[in-house]
Parts: sequence; C-alpha cells; structure tokens
Amino acid sequence: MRLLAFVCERSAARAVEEARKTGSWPDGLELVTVPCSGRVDVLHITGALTRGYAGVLVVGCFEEACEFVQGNLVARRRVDYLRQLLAQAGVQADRVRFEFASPAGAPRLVRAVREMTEAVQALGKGERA
Amino acid sequence: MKVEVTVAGAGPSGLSCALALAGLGRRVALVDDGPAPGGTLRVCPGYLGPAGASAQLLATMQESLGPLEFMAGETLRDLTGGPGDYRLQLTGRQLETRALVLATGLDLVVQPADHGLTPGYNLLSLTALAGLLASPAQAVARLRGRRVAFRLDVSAPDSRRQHAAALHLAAALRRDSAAEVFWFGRDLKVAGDGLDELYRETRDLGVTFFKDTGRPVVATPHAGGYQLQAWVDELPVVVPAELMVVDERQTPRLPVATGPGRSSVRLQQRSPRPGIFLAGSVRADLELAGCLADGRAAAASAEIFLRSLTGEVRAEVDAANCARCLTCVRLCAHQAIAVAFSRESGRDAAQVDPRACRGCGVCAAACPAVAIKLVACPDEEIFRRLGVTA
Repeated sequence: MRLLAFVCERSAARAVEEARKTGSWPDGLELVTVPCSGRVDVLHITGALTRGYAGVLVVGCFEEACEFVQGNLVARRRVDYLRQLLAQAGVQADRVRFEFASPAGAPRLVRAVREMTEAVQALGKGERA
Repeated sequence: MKVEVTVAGAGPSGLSCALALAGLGRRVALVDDGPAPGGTLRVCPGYLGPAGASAQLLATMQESLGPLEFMAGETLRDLTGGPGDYRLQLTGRQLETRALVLATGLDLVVQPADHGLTPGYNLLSLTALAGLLASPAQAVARLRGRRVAFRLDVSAPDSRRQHAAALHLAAALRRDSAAEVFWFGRDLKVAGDGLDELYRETRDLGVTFFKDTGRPVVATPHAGGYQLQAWVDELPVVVPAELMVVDERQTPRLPVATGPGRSSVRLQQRSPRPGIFLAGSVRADLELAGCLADGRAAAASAEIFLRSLTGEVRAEVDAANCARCLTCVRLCAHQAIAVAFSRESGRDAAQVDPRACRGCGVCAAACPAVAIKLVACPDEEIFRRLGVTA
C-alpha cells in the first residue's frame, strides 16, 4: 500500500528530517516537498489517488506560522473541500488528510502519520471502478 | 566603492536596519556624521530609555557590527542615478549603492516662543536635560531638591517619542536628584513598549501629573523661575517651578538636496522613489522599541527590492490562458498579482510583480485555468514525482 505526503519545506520537511535522525520516521511514506502547503492543488491529490496511492497527507505550518501568511489555511480549506467531494463521489474521505506541523514538532508529526497509516490500512487498498 | 545597501544614520533605527541586512548576507555600508555609531543612544543616553540600558543596547549592537563597513564623520552631499544604481557623494568619498536607507532621525529645536516665553537660563529642552543628567555628579547635584516642571505637547503635540523620553527623564530626576517633578501635558502616550509600566513607576516615585483638559496651561516667568497655572475641576492650580523642561519641535532630517537632475526624497510615510527607504523617527514619531522594529522593517523592504533587481521571476502567468477570474488576486497574501493589460497577448491578464512575489505557489495551485506556473516547483515536476502525467 502506497502512501504519499506533501510536506512544506519550511516546517514539515524539517520535522521529517529530525524524525529520520532519531530513527522514528515510519517507512513506506513517499514525500513530495513543496515550497508551501498552499502550493498543493486538488489536482495533485486526486492525481496521486488515481495513480494508486491509498492515502495522501498534506502537512503545513501551524496557523500564524506560515511564511506566506495564509498558505497553510488555504491548503487546509482545499483539503476539506476535496474531502467533501470525495465523500460525495463514494470515496472514503479519510484517505486525504491535512496536518499542521512545526519544524520542532517531529514526534507530533510521527504520531499523525502513524494514525493516518492505520486509518488507511483499515480502509484497505481501494478499488478503481 | 560599491555596496548593495547604504544605511545613512547609525542611530538605533539605522543600526538595527544595517544589522538585519548584514544578517541576510548583504554588503552594507553604514554612514554617520558622528565619530562612532549610536546616534541618540550615544550622544544623549537617558533620552530614549534608562541610561544604563541604552549603553548596554549600544554595546551589544556594536559588538555584532563585525565586518560591516562603518564610515564615520560622513554626510550625504548628493545623490544621483536611479533605482538599483544610486551614486552617493559623501563628504570624503563616493559610494555606489543599489539601495539606500535613510535613518537620519530628527532635528530637535527648542522653541521658547511656542510657550510664549523668551529663551532663558532655566528653560531646558528634553535633550538638554538628558545631557545634564548624563554629566558628572556635581551637575546632577545642582538639580537636587529643585522644583522642575515638564511642559509637553506644545511644540510637538502628542509626540509619543517625547512622552517616552520625558517619562524616563522624570523618573531619573526623581530617583537620582530627589527633585520635585510636575508634569503638564495632554493625554499621556503610553502605548509603547513598557511605557505603561514606566508611567506607573514614575507616578509612584512621586511625580505629579496635571492633564490639560481644554483650558490651556499658562506659563509665566516668576521670581527667577516660572509659574504654571493649570485647571483641576474648574479650579486654578498654581505651581511655581525653578526649572521648566519643554518639548522640542521635531523636523525630519532629510539630507538629500533637490535640484535639477537629482534624485529627491520628500518626507512621507514611504519614500516615493524605488530603492530609497525611510527608517525610524525620520519617518514617524517612534520611541525606541518602535525605531528598532522600523529599522528591521526597512531592511525587509530593502531586501525585497534587491531581490527584484536580480530579475528572479518566481511565478509566471500564461497571459493567453488567463481567465481573469481574480482568484489569484484574491488569494495572494503579498498583493503581488494584479490584472492589467498584457502586451504579449494583447489583452488583460493577471500579472505578477516580481518585487512582491515570494514564491509560495498558492496562486498556481488555485488557478482554475492552470495559467500560472511556479518556476521553482512547477506542476509537471510534482506530477513527475507522483508518476502521473498531467
């Protein structure tokens, strides 16, 4: 089962680095680093899902911490919107999630990734119609 | 000599601006007409804050100056050239600079006439009082037990800067010289950093505050000193004072002369000339904390300007595909996008101002016509990573 995470290079990517150093980063998660979580388009996420990823996680900075003022909030809104669309289309919305992270918040991010992995594993691989 | 940014004025604002720019890796020249950096912090400690704290702040800032080029005893004589390529004529040398930050501060002139008085031995300006308090102990001893009245908001009405200075000085006077201190002014300006607390401290030290409520305070010469009349609950209160400390008229010190073929700067909130920035009290009435913050803000503006000179484009709009839906304009937190006539496509289209764009890609992700390309992280790259073709 393939999982994908879009990570903001300012916060999440650094938290991932930190987690890798301590060896707590779970395997089997592919990363795409973006300049800001606001860069992540709905099309990028649906593209990943159609390509066979079982779940997509978007990680941005905490509120007020966004270098670009509100890129993180735009991204979260986008993910929420996509979750609604997915639910209407009969796809489990939990396959797509948004998480906040800070550069120093590696343990919190690891926990979120573990939760996400478990949730997606429970949903199964997903079938394309 | 060639530098990227010249900061004129090495007071608190200039220092904080130069340090911020040097921290960003810019080549900075710091120019000042005095022999050493510090400006008001050095010349008049005790004016912008407690004398000890000012000295400490100055020492810390000087320590971090490091390899930064400091030019002492230089004034700006002339400015020619244009944005990105200014040429400065200083007293002793020439400088080529891409951007210029003017942190030249204020000229303070005491105007006894504003108070209806003539210049006198026992009429002091705030800066003169700060100088007196910083001088040797015998000078301070002469103030011992004297009756001192502060008369504010006359030459510079509602100046936050002078209110802060006067509060520091009144507290110092009361503490060090046990003088009797009276304060006549309009509403106190204590919104600045720590000023509220300072006001309470000053009041607890025994400074008496009289607030001007409509009826003006009248100061008249009296028995070698002054007599001030204020109104409290419609009743006149008369306070005789041996020494009166008055506020000063503040004029921004803008060193650049105007003339034919010369780049000029007029005082306003923002310099109208790209590449010239105003920082600190030359721009607005700011106390110390405000000056330090304003210096850093000017550094950020200068940095964005310098980046725009390298022509680094972060987001490109495909004008022919732009739907002019204003989604990007609405979403851009840096107000870097506007819809304007595009010469390439011969019609209106969104246009990105490279000086303001920070390259976050929020617009590129939101564009329904997929007409915006983020150069550093284009869609193709993301889809390639996913193994998908767009």
